[in-house]
Amino acid sequence: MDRLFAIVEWLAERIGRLFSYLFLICMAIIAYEVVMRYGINAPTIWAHDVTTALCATGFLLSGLYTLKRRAHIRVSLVYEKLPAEFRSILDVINSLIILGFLGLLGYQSTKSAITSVSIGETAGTASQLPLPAIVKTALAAACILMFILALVQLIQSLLHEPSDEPPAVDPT
Amino acid sequence: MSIELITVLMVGAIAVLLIMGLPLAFVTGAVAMTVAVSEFGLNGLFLIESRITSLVREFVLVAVPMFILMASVLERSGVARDLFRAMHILAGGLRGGLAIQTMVVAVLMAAMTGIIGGEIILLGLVALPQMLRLKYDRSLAIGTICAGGSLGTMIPPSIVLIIYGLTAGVDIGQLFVATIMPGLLLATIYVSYIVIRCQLNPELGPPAPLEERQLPREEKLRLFIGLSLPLGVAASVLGSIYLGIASVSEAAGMGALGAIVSAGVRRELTWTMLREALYQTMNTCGMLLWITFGATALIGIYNRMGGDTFVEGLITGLPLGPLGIIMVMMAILIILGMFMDWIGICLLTMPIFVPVVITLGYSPIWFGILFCMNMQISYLTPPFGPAAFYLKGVAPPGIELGHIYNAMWPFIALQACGLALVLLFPEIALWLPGQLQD
Repeated sequence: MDRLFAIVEWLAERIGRLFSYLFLICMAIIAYEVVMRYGINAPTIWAHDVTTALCATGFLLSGLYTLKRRAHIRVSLVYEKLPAEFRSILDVINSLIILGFLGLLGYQSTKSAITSVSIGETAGTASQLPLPAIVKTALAAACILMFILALVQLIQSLLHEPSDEPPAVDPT
Repeated sequence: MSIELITVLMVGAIAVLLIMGLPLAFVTGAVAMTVAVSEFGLNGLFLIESRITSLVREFVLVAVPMFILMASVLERSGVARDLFRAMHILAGGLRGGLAIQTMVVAVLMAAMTGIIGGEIILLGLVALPQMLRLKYDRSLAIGTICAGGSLGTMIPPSIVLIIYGLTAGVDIGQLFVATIMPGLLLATIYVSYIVIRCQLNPELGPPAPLEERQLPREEKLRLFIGLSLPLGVAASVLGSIYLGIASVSEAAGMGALGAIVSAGVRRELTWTMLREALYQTMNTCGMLLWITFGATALIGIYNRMGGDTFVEGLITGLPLGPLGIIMVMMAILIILGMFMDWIGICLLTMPIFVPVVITLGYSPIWFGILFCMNMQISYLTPPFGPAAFYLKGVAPPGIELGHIYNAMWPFIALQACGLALVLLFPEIALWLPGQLQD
């Protein structure tokens, strides 16, 4: 069981790292577009939509990476002062809220994504890029992956004895 | 349910969930979802989903990861350290010189970054040990670093102003121009404070000995060349936005590329460094964007139920003049700033405040600058001032969170003065954009 959990955590880290390269690709496309437009006056029709799609996908998947690092911003001042048993009860409640939110959003976005992809929905821009379909699929994927990760994190905290130390937060 | 009851329940639920330690992104998201489903049934889910999917398709948001990447690369290069050494030659001999040079470095770094965390950490690593070594007053040193490092979002580029511009429907280039004078005003106020205190009591900031302020000529040349490129990149990014040559997103992308090239020329670029900068960009985007998702969903649902007209009525119904209403908004922002992240505050309040501001006849650009200055205060104010947490992470042993917060008060007062000046004299913000428009 622990092995499976470790694999899920490892996968979340890998997926997060992999998708961070989208921002580098996006930077390269912007540079290409700037050279084409201002340099030789031949702007592309696709750069705008492709950079938007890459960043949107990166934004949606970034939530998974931040969840993996337990770095989502929260107000921890009261929480940290609580006794360990009380804190672990709160952890469970918080996890259930997160699961409920991600589960419902994942259900809704999967439904939308299937419709959008099957009709090849575009935003009516010149590039014909199916931007809405890409974004909806990315949201559905992000919600499902985050749901699985949050579930694993919940089970892990239930299995392990509550410690006096608050859960480690990655400083970066 | 009446809108009054819904408002009370929503604010109450947000407060309780925040105290329980639920991350802000999920606090706003979960409250939005509960309200949406109870009001509109399962169709409410569609409202939330479509708010998120249309938000991420905004082209201006492309600027956010690009500016973060630019900052992450520059933070990993030795630019801050070199800037500090270069300034040391110029200002090290003055009373309080190290604190003054820290402030100058903070402003220059702020012109290259749009976020605060990295800058405070850098100054904490580079400047704090030096000031403590020269027996500077500890509070003065800490306050200088936290207030100076917070300028990252006040001097353009600024992620705060990008999100404000997106929320309020205001041109981001104009906001970037408008924030220059107020940003420099704050820096000037800080430097004056340091100079005055060190003149009155030289013990607070003794000058550095002469021998450490002298460098051989070739060393000076090397510093100058190593610094000219990143500073040139920052200048051209901002210049191209001001002159309207490139969109903010394009300028940000070129800035990120420029930062990578600068690091390469400085022989500091490695594959590991670039990779880590990308991972950090991903993590920061996750923190910022997911709060944005939750908050945009929440405000979308709330306004759909008439929340905006309700709050507008409350605010404009106050027995106050227009300026009084602005002051009330500022007070609300300062109080929220003690407990919440700027991005949550921006997305939750601005869709309601900005229309009121415009109805009152004020400029939304000016109000954006006021918001940005207000958030400067929120970085420093306990109990949740993030500047203190960032500095605590890198401060030498013996410096506790309590010391850091105690050091903040004079600078919070100075920030309030700066805010009051821009509030009473809107020209400080609006003069420069007016000049550039003609």
